[in-house]
Amino acid sequence: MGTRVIGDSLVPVEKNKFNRAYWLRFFLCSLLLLVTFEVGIRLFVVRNPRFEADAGFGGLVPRAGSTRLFGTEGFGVTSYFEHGEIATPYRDGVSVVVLGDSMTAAHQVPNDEKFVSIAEQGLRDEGAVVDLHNLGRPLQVISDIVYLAPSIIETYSPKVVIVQVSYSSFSLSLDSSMTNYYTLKDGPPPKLVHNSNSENLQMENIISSSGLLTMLQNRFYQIFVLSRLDRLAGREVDQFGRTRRGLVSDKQIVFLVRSVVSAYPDARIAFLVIPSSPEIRPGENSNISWNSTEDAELIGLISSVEGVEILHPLSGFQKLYEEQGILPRGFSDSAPNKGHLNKFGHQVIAKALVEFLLRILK
Amino acid sequence: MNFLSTQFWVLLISVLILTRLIRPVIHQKLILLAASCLFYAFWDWRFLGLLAVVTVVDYYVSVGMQGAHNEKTRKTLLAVSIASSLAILGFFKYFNFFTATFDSAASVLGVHLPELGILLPVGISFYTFESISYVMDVYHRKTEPAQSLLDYSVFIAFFPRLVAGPIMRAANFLPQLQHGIRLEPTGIIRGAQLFGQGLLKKIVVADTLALIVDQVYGSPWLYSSATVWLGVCSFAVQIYFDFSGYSDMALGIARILGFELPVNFNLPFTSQSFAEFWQRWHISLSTWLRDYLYFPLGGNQKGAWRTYFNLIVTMLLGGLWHGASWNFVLWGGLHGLALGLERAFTQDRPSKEWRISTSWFKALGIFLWVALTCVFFRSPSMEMAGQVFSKLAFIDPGGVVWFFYPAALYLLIVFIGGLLMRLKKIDLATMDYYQPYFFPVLAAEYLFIFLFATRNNSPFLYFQF
Repeated sequence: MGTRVIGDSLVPVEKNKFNRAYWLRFFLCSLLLLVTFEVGIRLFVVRNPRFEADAGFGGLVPRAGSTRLFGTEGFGVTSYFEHGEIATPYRDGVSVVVLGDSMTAAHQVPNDEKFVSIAEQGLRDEGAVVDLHNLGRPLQVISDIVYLAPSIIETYSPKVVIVQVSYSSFSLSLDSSMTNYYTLKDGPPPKLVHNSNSENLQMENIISSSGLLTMLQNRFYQIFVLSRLDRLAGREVDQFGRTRRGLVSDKQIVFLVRSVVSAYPDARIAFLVIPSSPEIRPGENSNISWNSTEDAELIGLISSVEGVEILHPLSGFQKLYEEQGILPRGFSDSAPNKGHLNKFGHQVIAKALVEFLLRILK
Repeated sequence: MNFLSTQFWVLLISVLILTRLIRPVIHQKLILLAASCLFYAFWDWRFLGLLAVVTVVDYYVSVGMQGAHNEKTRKTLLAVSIASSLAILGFFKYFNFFTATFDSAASVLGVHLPELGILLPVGISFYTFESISYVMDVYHRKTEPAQSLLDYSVFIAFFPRLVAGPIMRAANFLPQLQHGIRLEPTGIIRGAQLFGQGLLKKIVVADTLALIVDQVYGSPWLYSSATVWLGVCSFAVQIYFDFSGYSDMALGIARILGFELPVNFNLPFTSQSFAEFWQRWHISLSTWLRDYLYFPLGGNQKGAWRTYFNLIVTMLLGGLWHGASWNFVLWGGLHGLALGLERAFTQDRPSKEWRISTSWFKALGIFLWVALTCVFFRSPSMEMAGQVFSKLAFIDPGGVVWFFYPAALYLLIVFIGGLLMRLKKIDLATMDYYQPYFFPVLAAEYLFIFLFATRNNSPFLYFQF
């Protein structure tokens, strides 16, 4: 407490509480909290790999040897080879490339629990020396896969190309803000045109260097981008913004499938359609339905293109539930039957992939 | 329009700006009333008239009681007011419940009672109870009538707590209204802190727990017994955080405007007895039931058996207040039974003092009782409740095993954190904001909310009442 002269009196006056010492301690507390957030997020929630520019493989890709940590839906550490390829156990053998979105990249599970890695090990166990290249990437769509073809063919010379798809792989190819390099322009005739959006590599590097900034970017994405998708699709989206049937026509789907076939002329093409979550109707009695008309429609359209094979391991998922009471999607920190595949779901997909590759590579 | 919507924040900021520009108290009251009406109209403008009817009837009844010298006249006016409030509440909330209940009996006589498509006005349970408490307090001369219809209208319609409480008492609020809206740094800071606390409780904790609760109560047959146990315990915590979170937000907004609302929750899961639980849970409702139902019935003044009866009736009606369904009545009845049995079998008043050896177990026991009775509260039907209980009893233990660890983590934090806060007498609401860590911690709280709030936000649970 200080004093001041007012008139003839000395009057006690409260010292200013917001003095230099206060602000110094305020700054230190703030710094400590920010550091705590950053460390906590990097240890438990999300950590990005180091990135490098690799134009032929999609601009900014994880550097060889770096790792990514993902902990908000499941918990997994993903490590990388060159060109943003997710590491698998082996690097020799008959070349098979697996392309797809976050289901294939599968950051929710560790490297050795991803279906590509399990399948590669499974093939080795059967005596088949096959090198599966996991080039899955979140939100990778058909038009991206077509764009990447020249670099993939030059680098890997694949005998087989497995393309993991859902409806959003096709519908988001129509949206220039969601694809990196090509956008589908509707006809006649439909064609893929170069996307004029360019990635801001500098900003991506800055954001990716910090767990906290990455989380903030993810939240803005959820709030603004996924909400926009919700509105576009009239709420016909799941919690990860995957759009449903209504946004892409049959003609567009067939055109995109044909584009993939044309882009990889020397390879066997197979489309992997991961079965949709079974419908569990709330109520007092057991009521679970595995049949999805949407999946059936998509499979029908893809199959209509000559020279394309289909992988759809629905029976494996059903067996997993009926025999073991396990649902193929969901994690302990999310919800059963929703979101990405858990390790059991990956095992089912891997088994189907092994059987398929053993058959066609004989 | 709820506290998390853009429209609400536009409304609140408009009120704050207007009250900085317009200083006369009477004009500020008009602004508050207009804002409250707009807030309510966004829910459903059709029921503004109902709010107006309740307000006008009670105000003029209170004026009439003040002016009447005849006790019979005062009693008549009181009866008119209470009857009108209960009639409105009874019609909108309970008509279909009673007709469905009595339909099975009436059908024997070949009569079928009609079921009407009646919409439940938002907040009706809260503002009718406030109006009843007002007229009863005026009748018993515990409070003076409101100085004007404007004052009373603002009391009834005060938007921060209009749709889900806390249930205010006129004696606490009307004197505060005389100074109008007071925007002071202390109030704004404390209000922001309370609001942030409520937001954290609601959209981080409660909405995360909703993920398992909705799944388990939607399809209990799908999940294992252990998963159902986790879901049942999670619901008890979810409803606490949802409702206390809303209350904190309401208190925070009121505080920003310069008004103090009553605290509605005080670490209820640290309670060591059923009686103490109801002194800490939904305090504004439990004190209302005590003052306007339990005490008029005789309280504990008319012998042991009458006390047990009064407790059970009070809690039965308290359950019915929550919803027009036998589930809620059963929930209330079970709590009444517990209170009665506790009174019957404990010689002295249960101690609230903390004893390391026994208090943890008592608190855990109370929590488990609350969680189990909440099965009736949450289940959409008695059949579903039965299925949940069969899982809890391990009669049908098979199913998908889902250890939703965020729920387990939050249960642990709530239980241990609450007990520690009680032991150490920590009250976040009185934290000294001159400490240099106060604002960084407040900012960190909001950052945590932004980063970790779930995307799938569920509506506030108590809006349905």
